[in-house]
Amino acid sequence: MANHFLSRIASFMGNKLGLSSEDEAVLLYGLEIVFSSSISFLLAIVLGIIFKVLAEVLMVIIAWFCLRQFAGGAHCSSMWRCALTSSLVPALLGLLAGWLSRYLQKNFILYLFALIFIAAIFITLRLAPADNPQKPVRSSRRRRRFRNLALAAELLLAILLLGAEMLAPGKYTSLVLAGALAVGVETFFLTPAGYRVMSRIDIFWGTLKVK
Amino acid sequence: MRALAIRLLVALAGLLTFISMASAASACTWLYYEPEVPAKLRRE
Repeated sequence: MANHFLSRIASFMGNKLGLSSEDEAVLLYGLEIVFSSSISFLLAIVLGIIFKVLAEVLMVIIAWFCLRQFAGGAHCSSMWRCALTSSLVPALLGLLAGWLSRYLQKNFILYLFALIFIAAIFITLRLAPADNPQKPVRSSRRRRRFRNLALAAELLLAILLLGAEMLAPGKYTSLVLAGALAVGVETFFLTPAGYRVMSRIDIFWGTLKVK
Repeated sequence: MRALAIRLLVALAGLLTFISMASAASACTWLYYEPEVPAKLRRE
């Protein structure tokens, strides 16, 4: 239904501006990106407010935004399934980060942080950019460039998050953990196991009749 | 009024084209959904 509505908007714009069908397809692609991003972002914000973890949810989204563009990863099969997954996962990670920051000792948090980033760098080196049938990256030069950018994004995030924890100990621990968990989950979705989990999530939404 | 509407549509089309190109140039969106990339923006 949403896709049909977006197609009609793209078609309307194409008619008014005298665009070719190829150009209309480009507009439709842009509309789909804007619409699905807005829906997912708004749902994530609402869940963040409901669960009182808005800052953590935003931190997860920022970390994903930095990393996923270069590393790629598993996907849902439709816009609404994606919107639900992309809003529920940050909310759950935000809740988990808040909970862990309250109950874990500082040393253990730092070990967890280090473990997540070491694993993330190892997985990124081996698997990024992950295969995506909608947008395959076949050129080895482009693959290398995406991998290097993903590694740079991970290192930058690690430095910024660790810097925040060092400069203001205990003040931003839940945000630091939210960022680290986001990197961990994102890199997990680069692995074959991550693809299987995403496929199960997709099937689960299917059983709930989410189109 | 009509000229203004056309200008707004042109601006919107420009913005959507920019978003499409930026998204097509990345490995993935931040979301768990990836619409099919149009042939015009596809790269090997």
